[in-house]
Amino acid sequence: MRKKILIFYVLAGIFLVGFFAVGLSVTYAVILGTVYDRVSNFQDSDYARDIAVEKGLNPNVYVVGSVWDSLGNSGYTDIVKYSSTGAVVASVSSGFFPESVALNPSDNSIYVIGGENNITPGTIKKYDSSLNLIAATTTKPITGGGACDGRHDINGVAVDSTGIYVVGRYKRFTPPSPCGASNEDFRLIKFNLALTQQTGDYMYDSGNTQEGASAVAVDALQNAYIAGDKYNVSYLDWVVGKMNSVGVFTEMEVYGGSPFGDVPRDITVDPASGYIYAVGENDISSGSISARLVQYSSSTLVSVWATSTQPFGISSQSGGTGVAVDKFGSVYISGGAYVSGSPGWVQKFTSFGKLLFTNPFGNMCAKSVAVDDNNNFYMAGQTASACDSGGSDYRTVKISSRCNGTSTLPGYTIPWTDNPIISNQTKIKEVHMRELRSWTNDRRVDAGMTSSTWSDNLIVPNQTKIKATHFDEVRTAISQAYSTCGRNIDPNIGGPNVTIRGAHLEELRKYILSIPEFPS
Amino acid sequence: MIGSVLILLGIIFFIYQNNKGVTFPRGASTEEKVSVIREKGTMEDCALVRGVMVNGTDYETVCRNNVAYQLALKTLDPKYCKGLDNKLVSVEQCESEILLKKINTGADIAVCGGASVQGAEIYCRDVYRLREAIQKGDEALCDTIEDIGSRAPCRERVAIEGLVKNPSGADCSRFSGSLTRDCRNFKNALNGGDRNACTIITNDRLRSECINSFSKN
Repeated sequence: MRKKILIFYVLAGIFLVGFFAVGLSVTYAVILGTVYDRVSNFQDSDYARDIAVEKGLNPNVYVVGSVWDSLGNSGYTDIVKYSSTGAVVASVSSGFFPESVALNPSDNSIYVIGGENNITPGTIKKYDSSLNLIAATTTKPITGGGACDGRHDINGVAVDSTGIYVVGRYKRFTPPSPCGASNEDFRLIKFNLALTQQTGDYMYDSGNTQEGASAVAVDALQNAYIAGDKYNVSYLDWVVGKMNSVGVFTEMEVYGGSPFGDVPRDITVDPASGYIYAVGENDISSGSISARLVQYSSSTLVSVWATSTQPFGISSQSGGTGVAVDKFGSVYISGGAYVSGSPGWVQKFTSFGKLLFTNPFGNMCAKSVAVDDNNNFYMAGQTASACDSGGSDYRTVKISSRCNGTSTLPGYTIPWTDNPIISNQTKIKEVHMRELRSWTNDRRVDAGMTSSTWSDNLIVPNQTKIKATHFDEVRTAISQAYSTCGRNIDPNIGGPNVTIRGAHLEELRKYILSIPEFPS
Repeated sequence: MIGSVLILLGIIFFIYQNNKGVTFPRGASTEEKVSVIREKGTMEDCALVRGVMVNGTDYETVCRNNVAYQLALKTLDPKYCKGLDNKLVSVEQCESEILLKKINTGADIAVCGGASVQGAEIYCRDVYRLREAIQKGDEALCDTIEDIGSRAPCRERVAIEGLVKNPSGADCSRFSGSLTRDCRNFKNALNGGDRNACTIITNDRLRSECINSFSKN
């Protein structure tokens, strides 16, 4: 027999009026707070390029980049692990110039790649979570390549349970020696997780003489999504495509046409939805750079939407540098300006492309962005008045983001049991109260609050009487969350010994879903 | 009597601690212990993690590799690379990295003789010849590079330095592939005062030089 909630009070109505009277704001509330802001000065020119974050409640982050002294020498500390509070847990010198990092969440090992320079091959190194070097290897010319093959410029790395994926630009010169005109293609090399074996080596040549890959992301089926560019007569085209597990490449978008070109810088996959996101620079012509963010469908392999953004106006000349997706499917992009004095920034978008907020970082170029599972995002880059200028330091910032979680996502729903509650028809059950409690605490955590405790924590069907206290607690708890998010609501709990109606439960559901805005 | 015994025990404990060489935070994981040894310890300290396997990897080997590699990096002496296991981390890769840095600090080609692996020695000599070619601005020196595949990149690097020194006098058709484009964008940026042209330069040296030229202005 279903448990029917025993009613001990009636909602007085004032509670509901209190909720509704405040209006129907469409502004997406968000409360951003700096958890830590670290500047590390290792040498004369310190240039953080990429960041990776662990899973879990108190995740560490790993920042990699390039460090030079005034003579151009390397060999200084350039990989740093920060704790969840910003303390330096470990740091090490990689011995090369790291460009990109990927983290294997199963053991928190990291893979760092980069280092190619002129006649120096690309380097791939694996470190454990304490930054001990576990294994190392270098890129080799392709099997069967000619003696004139040049060095492989590697730019991006991704990891899954089967191995790591490294992409870049493979340059071949025409034999015989002294080696003439060159041809450049996308190249993807796959290694096993131990880095002891190269397990795949794939090229993509569209027919253009100049193509190169900048970044890679991988889905659950070992498909690699690659962002890069190709030279089209007199300008660069933006190229994003999928390379399947046997090396067949499918172009998903070729975008271009502006005087200088359009270039993607980073790419990621949302494992939950399967959407792919690429970010970069577009319309690179005199005085008009902007950041471009594109969502692609993994099923149709075409773009779903694209948006261009210039957070600080056209004069800032800002391009997109990094992209990450949180557990709710929201998208974060980082960017930096090429004009002195304009800030770096992180923006958050819904999976529908709606801008939720912009967070500026003064005197810096944001080179990469990452998110954790606890509503925090991270930005790594260089302290500099403009992107890519010298004399900078590593800067890593962790920002907490409250009240901007699921509830601001268009179309987001909570899978309530018996939805909707129908008056005089739906019996109020234990599961309804359990869900209210659970989702109320979810909203509180999203607002940066602790979970609420409940009397009769375990409501047992046919045993536990649902009392006014239970409803009071949920109302108070969600009211506190609204207050934290900047909306004051008087819970105005009614007195005991009155009858709860289905509408009352419905109202609570709406408010729990809608926070930080009021239900429409 | 008891006091003497306690003092003696204290001395024994002190000696024991010092003999251990390194001390670890309470509850340190194997990875954290190796991290401490890497920073403050010696090869002998790696015995403290003997027989410990983490994710299928022998951590005494990891420890030895890290101590050897960091020693090589700090001293720029390739002899320490021979302390590597040559499986997880190859001696050749280590020697190549160390000798590259050595050459970049201005060392003579004679340092290449310090390599124990032929591949690293050849690479070292080639890096030296690249440096000579760049410093003298002489592309012909690139043809003395032993690795044929490195000759064209060498010539391009020499040309890049020529471009940086004298943008207006550079002939972009001498470059190949994306460097031709980079060269044109570099010249366009500097000649036209258009910083944006710098942003799509793919060559790190040219891109950095291009953007920095605007930062200085």
